[in-house]
Amino acid sequence: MNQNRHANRHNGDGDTVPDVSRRKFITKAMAGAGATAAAILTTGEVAAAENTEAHSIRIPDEFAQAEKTSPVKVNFPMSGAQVFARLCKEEGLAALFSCPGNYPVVNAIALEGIPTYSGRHEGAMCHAADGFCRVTGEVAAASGTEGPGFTDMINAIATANAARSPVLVLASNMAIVNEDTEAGIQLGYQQPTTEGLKKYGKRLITAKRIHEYGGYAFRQLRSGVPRPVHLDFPAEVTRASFKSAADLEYFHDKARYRTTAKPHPGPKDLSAAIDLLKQAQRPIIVSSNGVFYSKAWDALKKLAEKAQIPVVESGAQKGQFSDDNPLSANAAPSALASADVVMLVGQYCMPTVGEFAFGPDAKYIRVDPCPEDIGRNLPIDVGLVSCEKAALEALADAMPAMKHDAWVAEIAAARKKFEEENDAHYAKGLSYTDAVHPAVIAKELADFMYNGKLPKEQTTFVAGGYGIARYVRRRLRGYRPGQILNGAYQYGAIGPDVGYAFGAAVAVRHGISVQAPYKGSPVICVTGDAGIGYTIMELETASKYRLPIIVIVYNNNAWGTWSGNSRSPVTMSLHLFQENVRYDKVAEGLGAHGEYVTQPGDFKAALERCYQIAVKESRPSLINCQAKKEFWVKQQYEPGFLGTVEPGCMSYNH
Amino acid sequence: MAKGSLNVVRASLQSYADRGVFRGFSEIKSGQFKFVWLLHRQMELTVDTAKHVLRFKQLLPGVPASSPLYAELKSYLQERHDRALPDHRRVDRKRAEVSCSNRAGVVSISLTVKNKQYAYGVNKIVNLVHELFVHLRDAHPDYLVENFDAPQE
Repeated sequence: MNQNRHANRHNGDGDTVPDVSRRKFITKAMAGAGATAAAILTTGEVAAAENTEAHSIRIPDEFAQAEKTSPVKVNFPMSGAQVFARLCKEEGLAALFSCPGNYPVVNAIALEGIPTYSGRHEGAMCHAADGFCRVTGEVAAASGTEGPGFTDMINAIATANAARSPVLVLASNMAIVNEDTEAGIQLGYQQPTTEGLKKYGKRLITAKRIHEYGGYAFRQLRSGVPRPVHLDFPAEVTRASFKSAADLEYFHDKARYRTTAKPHPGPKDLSAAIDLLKQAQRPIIVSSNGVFYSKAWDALKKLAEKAQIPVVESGAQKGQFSDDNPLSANAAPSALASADVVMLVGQYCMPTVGEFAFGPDAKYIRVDPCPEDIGRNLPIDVGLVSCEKAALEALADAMPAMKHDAWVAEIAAARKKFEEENDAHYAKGLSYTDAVHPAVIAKELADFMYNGKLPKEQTTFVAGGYGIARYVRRRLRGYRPGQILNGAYQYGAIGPDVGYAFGAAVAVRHGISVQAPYKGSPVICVTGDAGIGYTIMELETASKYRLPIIVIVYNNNAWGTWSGNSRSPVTMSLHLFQENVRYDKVAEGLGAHGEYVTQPGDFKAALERCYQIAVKESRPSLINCQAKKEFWVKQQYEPGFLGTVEPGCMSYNH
Repeated sequence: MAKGSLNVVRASLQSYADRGVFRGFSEIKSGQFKFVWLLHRQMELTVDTAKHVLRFKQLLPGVPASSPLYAELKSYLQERHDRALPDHRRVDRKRAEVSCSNRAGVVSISLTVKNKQYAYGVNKIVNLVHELFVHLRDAHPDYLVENFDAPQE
């Protein structure tokens, strides 16, 4: 099929412009889904094969047709949208998550063969793009229509901004000619709305500069500290027609408009850092976002092992330093206050004094590509302006081999103590038999992922929720980069978790970047009953694309905030839901598999059933774990609501 | 001698201010220091060189003397002397002694310095208070939310 022919129509001037009808959008968006339906679409049915009722849930045949259709390279004459899509392809944009709207751009990107998915809510799709970035380190895009589709994404843009994710936000924005008129619907100024939530933004108003501004966007996304970039596209730009590259005043290969060079540490600063580390008795490295995005995990391991420096993780994703390594201090919170020199590497979201557990006498080295941020919040002793990978490689080469055996032993003892605390929580949780305690979920989930039949590095995990997260994170371990997506992170948004899981599952399905060895593996996500309300409809999206996601819902009938109002009869009900809500039934109604677990002894078997469905049917599941809100009350149900110590496996705010 | 001890305390505290750990550091009158530190709270540390006592005054509000939290805090503080702790984390009873007091539900933390080891004492009480807040974050998050406006996720 000549998709280019179908993707365009003629305007009154005889020029060819993209067909932007909604019907065409739906068809074209599916065409770019790449391998999305590889495991999916042979039967077209979601429900059990034997269900032949006329009204059973089924996937439309168009998904299979889209899957069979190969992208066709578009050449000049090209529309503005097509020029932009070509640039995205050449820049390696790894995926696009969208809802209907912004049809010229979405269609053009899909037709370039970039995996393109459409969901139920622009916000959830923007969370999906964020999730994709956070488990791959690659750039992903989110798109919505002008006005409401764009503003639906605001919370997700803010969350991605706090997480320092390289999300490319694309939104259509009607026509410049209608500016300030309220003609038609959905007009709005977009760029001021994302002020403070992005690294760079631009309304594209000059069609012939579309390639130039695309270059601006990717320079921002791929350098320094990543954060969202927001471009909005008026119709005059996306529909503009260019007969040749000469019509575009700026149209260069990316080698001409950006560099891959990275900042390296200055010799004097490097020497100061080495001196401090050599003097330390109890040094520690905090590995955060920048280690992941600069792919510095090998250099980190080399430095840590050569100088015997323990490593603790923080950040929006974890797993850069394996918890298998005896130098991992992720699960040793009580040892952190002993560190005398702390080297923060790529810690973009900085804690303030006292938020990390390191003591007041600790000295700090900070490695960051942006000099303007070094010294913010925490005073430093040495600052290294550098790409994280370059700094770690230089340190690994220059540091002498060292031994800190007593310090490593202290961390091992702290780790043992922490695991004993966790086991005590589990024993206590098992004793509560009339509902599922979070300690039971945490322990048995960890055993399933790390101590059972699965290779422990296999499962990509989305750690969402509120109270439940405080139990689950204590058990989470990372064994390879991109394994743990650390929930909404510093912005603290409720409910992005199914969106994140969707994005992570797309990354795993396509085997993008560090997910390549685990291609096709199921993704597991934990969320709460408050959170699931925000993005549960994306289980329909996961069902239609047959993404093997297992969503575990901790259902305690309440917002996590209820306990603060427990002594206030007037306001208490503001924090409660109906009891025993059947999220599993909702999931079934959306094409997923549902399980309802009401006793602690039933959780493990439900998880195993869901995993089998994920593997055999490539189908999502939801496990509705019925708990009770009183589990947060320590006096009634020890250990009650748990706190956190940062950095390490519990860290979430930074 | 008392002046010398006070100077040692003053210099030790000033070093934390110089490093940016304490902010807004000032000696409001002789032996009485104020600074902004953990959870962006203003704290007050006093030194009584006659009794050899360093004290974080009125550090923790909202802790009734009869509450389980206060009992647990007292126990936690005494554990800072535990020989099982590494030397760099332990308060050596030969050099200093930790205690606390509770007036109308407001807890103060004290450290009695022995043999005029004030530099040791300042270092230990500052680290002890830091560790106490880490402990509260870990074991009593609701307390910090209610009394220190610590953020809920």
